[in-house]
This record gives sequence, C-alpha cells and structure tokens, in this order.
Amino acid sequence: MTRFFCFTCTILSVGFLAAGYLLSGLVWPALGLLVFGILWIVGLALRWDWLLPLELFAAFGAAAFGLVLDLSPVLLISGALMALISWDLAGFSLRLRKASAEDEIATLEKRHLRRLGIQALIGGSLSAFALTLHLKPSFEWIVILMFFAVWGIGRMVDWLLKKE
Amino acid sequence: MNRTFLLALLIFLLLFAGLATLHPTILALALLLVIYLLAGLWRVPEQVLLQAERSISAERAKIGDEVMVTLTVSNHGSALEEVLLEDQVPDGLEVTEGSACRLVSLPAEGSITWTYTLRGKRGYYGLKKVRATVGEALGLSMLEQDLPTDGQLFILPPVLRLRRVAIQPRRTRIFSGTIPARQGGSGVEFFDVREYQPGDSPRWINWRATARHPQNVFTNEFEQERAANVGIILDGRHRTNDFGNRSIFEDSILATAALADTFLNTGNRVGLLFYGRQIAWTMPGYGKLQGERILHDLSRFEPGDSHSTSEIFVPRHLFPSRSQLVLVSTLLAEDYDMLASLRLSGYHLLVVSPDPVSFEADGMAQTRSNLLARRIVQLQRSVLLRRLRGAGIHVVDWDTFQPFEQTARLELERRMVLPRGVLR
Repeated sequence: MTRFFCFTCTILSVGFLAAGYLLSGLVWPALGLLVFGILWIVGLALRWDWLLPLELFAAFGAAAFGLVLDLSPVLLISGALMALISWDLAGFSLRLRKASAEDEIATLEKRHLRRLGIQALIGGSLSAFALTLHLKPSFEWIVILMFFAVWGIGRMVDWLLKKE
Repeated sequence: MNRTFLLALLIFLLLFAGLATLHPTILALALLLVIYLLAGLWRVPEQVLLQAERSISAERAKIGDEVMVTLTVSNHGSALEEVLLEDQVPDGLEVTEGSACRLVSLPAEGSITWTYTLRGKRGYYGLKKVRATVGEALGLSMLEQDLPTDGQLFILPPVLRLRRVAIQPRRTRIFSGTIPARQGGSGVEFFDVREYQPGDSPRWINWRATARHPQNVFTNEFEQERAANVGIILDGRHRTNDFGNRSIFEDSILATAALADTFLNTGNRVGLLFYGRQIAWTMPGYGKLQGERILHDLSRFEPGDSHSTSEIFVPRHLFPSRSQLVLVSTLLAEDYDMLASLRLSGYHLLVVSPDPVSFEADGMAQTRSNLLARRIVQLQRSVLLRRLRGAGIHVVDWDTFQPFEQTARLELERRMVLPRGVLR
C-alpha cells in the first residue's frame, strides 16, 4: 500500500510541476521535469535510497523557481506537497523493510497514512490560505519576521537533533 | 542524511529565497515543510524506558542444531508509535526461522514477545543486546538505544568416538587407568616372571618356569595400567591452516575434540594448549567436566598469528618430562627442530597431522604444473614425516577426505613400532 501511494504521489508531483510550467508555455523545463520524474520513479523502483533527498530538493527547487517566475502557485505548491508526501512514504517503506512477517504492517501503514494525510491537509490548507493573503509589510518587518522564523525553526531542529 | 536536518536546510533555503526575491508565495511553500516538521515534533516520545529479556533454549549446541531465542521487550515509559527492535545477532550465526527484527508500536506498560531460531558455525557467541530505534510516525526523530540482555551460545565442535588411542609415556600417574606403566603388578598384559611371594594368587604361578627350576616357584607378573598426563597441543597458526579462502582448521578441531574425549574417557589427565591468534591454555584435569571445558575452549579458537607463535611453549611444571604430548598440526618443515628437542627432553610425542597437500590440491585446477607442484610438496612432507618417525615420534598422516575415525582405527589403536635403534 505504501509503495503504491508513494508511486502515485511521485507521478502526481511531477505531473503538477510539469503542468505548472507547461501551462505558461515553458515546454523545455516541463520536459526536463518529466525526465526528472522518470528518474525519480526508476530510483524508487530500484530502491536507490541515496536519491530520495536529491529528489525532494529538486522538486521544491523547481516549485520555488516556478513561483519566482509567477507560474501557477496552486499547481506548484500541490506538486511540492506531493513530493513531500512521496519522500515521506519512501522513507517509511525503507523502515518497513526491516519489519518481520509477524508484524502488523497493515496497521502501521494505515496509521502512518492517516497521520500523513492530516498533516498534508493542514499544510496544504495553510499554504492555500497564505496565498490568499495580500499583506504589504515593510522590508524591516519582513526581515524581523524572517529572523524570528529562522531562529524558531533553528531551535526546533536543534531540539529534535538533541533528542536523537 | 538526517531527515530533520534535510528538512531544516530546505526550509532555511526557501526562507532566504523568499526574502531575497521578495516572493511571499515561496514562504507558503516553506510552510508545508514547517507544518510537516511540527507534526513530527508534536509526536516525539517523551520518555523511552525499554527493558529486554532473553531466554535461549540451549546455551550449548552442536553445529547444525537449531536454538530457539525468545525475546521480551517491555515499555515502562510513554507510548511509542514506532519501535524497531533488532536483536544483534553476531556474525557466524544465521536466523533460520522467524526474524530477529520487529517493527511495532508499544503502548505504555505494554510488551512484545517473539521467538526465532538460530543456527551457526562453531564458536562462542555473546547475545548481549537488542537495539531499539524509537521514533514518531514520520520518522523525523529517531532515538537509538541498546537494551542489555543476558545470553550466550556455544556452538561446539562434533565429538567423534574413538575406540582407543594407544600411547605409552614413560611416566604415568599413580591412579589406575589404561596406559601400560612399564611396571609389574596387577594388570592384563604379561610383563615378567618373578619368584613367588606370599600373597600371590596361585593362578599366576608360571608352571612351566617352576618345572624348569624345581627349587623355586615362579609367578607371572602383569604390566600395571595407570592414568597418564596428556597434553594436547593444537596448532592454530595462520600459515599451517589457511590456504587461500579455505581452512583446514576445522579438521584439526575435530581431531582434537575426538582425542581429548578419548583420553578423558580412559581416565587420563588432559590439558590443552592452543597457539594461534592467541595462546590459550586449558588447565589439565580429569573427567566430564574437563571434557566440557575443553569443548568450550575449542569452540572459541580461531586460526591466526600472534607474536609468540614461532615455537611451542610447553609448561613443564604441568607436564613433566616423559609425559605424553599430542600435537595436532599440519606441520611445517621448520617444526622438526622443535619436535625433536621435545623428544630429546623425554616427552612422548604423538603427532596427528591433517594432510594439507591433498586438502589444498582439492581446490586447485588439475593442470600439469599443479600436479607437479603437488608431487614435490608431497615428497617434502613425506621426508619430514619420515624424519619425525626416525626421531621416535608417532606420526599419523591424516588425509582429511577420509573420516578421522577410520584413520584413528588404523593408526592409533595399536602401539607404535619404533624404528630399529630408536630408544623408547
């Protein structure tokens, strides 16, 4: 089940990103994304685990670049969200490989998918909401907010890494 | 790359990109990752208090036997969403049924018990820990813990039953046994004729000698049979055991176990000296307990080299001169001097030598040059064995493709006939 969803999300991710570029007439970047998608799927099928972080970076990079070019934000953010889900499921299936036949894999999968679905829904909704906001803060405010964001996320990551 | 670190890096890059390009939509993109990170953070387990217990169906097993391992892991902390439990199975053991890994979720005060079976090569294996990798469902924060457990497993070498090994050291112990002691007394084998003494059984009277000398009565004397000190020396040097990726060492172990068992069964005091990767000494002793000790030690030994393996160290206070030494070795030409000096010191030597030439040749192509090389090496070995026999050493040349029992029956059950001119 996990692998099926993983492949589906990968295809959707590449499809959304490529559509975002293609609808704005950028054919070559869209083709490039399709090639990248094929590589991604091959990597998943052949279990090239080292490729997973690169794919996440590439998908978010493509989405960010498209946003800079003012392409359709809905398609690009959807593509990025699917890439995130695909990356998560690939990692989960990696962990599932160590499970034994006696383990309740189906239960673990269901729980994981439910939690991931909720998280994706919240993330997607917040991003969509953020897109509707049209605030015009001054540059100083942006810098201050950004500073707090970086500091906050830094603290959180530091805490998580220490916990490990 | 760590998943948390990867996400954080991506978030920072997007934040800076958003700031640099003044595109708020990029911040919306970063928001997806921030929510994902927060979801992981929210479910990080607060306290990990796991405890593992292990039970093994047998602590000692033979090669090929299956041993059942049962593990129970209890969670005394908060509920854990995803726990990967991996029993650290040492190299040399293989899981034949079930799995040494479990991926489960453990509620607070919950536990899991599972069983799997192991099989392995000869050796000593410590089963001392279970690795627990605890994480939340998204796998962002993974905490690794080694849970200590008690457990050990000896995979012992097989013990072949030999009927008898004929040795005759000059010195024996005072206890009765099966080794001819070169002294008259009660026994089975005829030893000498002497004058009748009060207390001698009339059945021992030698009527023929008495008839020849009517003024005296003569009785037969029998050779006393006593226990002896036997020191077994197992050669574990890399040079004498390893041939490419094959090793004859297991055959040496097999022979040593069989010999030790036979000597102990006949009441002798047996000690074992191993020199290979390490020098190990099993103190001499008697009986079944000593047999177990020797088997346990044999299960640990591995061939290899240490700095002090150039010559055999024989603790003479434990094995006084004229006692029996048994060397199990494929032999090198330079070993002759060492063996001859031991013989000169008064030790009685029995050398059981697994044939390394046929063993090595078995794994090689039958080319003309290989056949020629084999013949040359075989001749060199024959010369060495002949020299050793000439020095009064009982040498058993064992072709390892023949069962050891068969070779032992032919060459070890009867006393060695020494060449003419060689002193006992």
